Amino acid sequence: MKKFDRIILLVFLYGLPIVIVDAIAMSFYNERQIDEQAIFLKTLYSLSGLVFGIWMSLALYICIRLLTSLDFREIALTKLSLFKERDEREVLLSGRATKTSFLTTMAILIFLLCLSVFTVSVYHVTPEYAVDGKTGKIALGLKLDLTEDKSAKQSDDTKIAKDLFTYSGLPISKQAVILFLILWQILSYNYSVHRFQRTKKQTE
Amino acid sequence: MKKTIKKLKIKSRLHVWRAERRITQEELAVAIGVTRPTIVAIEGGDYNPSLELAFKLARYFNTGIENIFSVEEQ
Repeated sequence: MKKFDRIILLVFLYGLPIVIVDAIAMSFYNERQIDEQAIFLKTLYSLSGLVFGIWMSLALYICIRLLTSLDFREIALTKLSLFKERDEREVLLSGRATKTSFLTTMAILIFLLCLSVFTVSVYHVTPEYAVDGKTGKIALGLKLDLTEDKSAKQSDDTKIAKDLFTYSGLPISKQAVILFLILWQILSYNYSVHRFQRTKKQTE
Repeated sequence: MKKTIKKLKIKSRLHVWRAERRITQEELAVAIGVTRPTIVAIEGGDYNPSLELAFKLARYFNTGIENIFSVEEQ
């Protein structure tokens, strides 16, 4: 890893707790409240904004380097994932754990995809819209949006139906899903290594 | 004539060679360039070393591979 990249990474990591503390502290105030404070606090507020801006730039740089530099990615992410490949046996264990982690992550992703594309709706319609005298309806659907449509879609049946149950995809944010997957990858890999280390006959 | 080889079980006498020379697992691991858990796994029969590692062990004890590792058909 180049010396410059190493320094950037260290500054980013040591800056993270400062940014978190700063974000928590600033959440108690808004800009108008800061304006009413003493000059010292105003200056501190401005400085914290500058620090955050610099840290955010470093974060972007690191993300780009992770994608573009094999050397940087290998060193930074093996440390983050707690990879240990000190000898041939650990390389073998690491390979098996990586395979297990990959397959379980695939299974989770397929499960999440299913949960996010299926829609289910159970509702009652008014008698004038009943078919064969039946007012209860179950609607099953499949939706696959490649982009997010922020405008609220109004159902045709809202004025004529009374919703009993509606499921229209995972109620979790994109950030939560991505964060979960990152943590899952790290935890499942380390758990698999630990499990394989305890298992007898590692070459079979 | 067709010959089939059944599954082989590799037995290790590494612990004997190590004990006779009063070498600790840690010392052997450092000398060979592996971790102590790997030496433990080889001695316990839980891990079959690669050809390179087997040769390294044999060379360390100044003997042949077949004196440290033996093989039997299961």
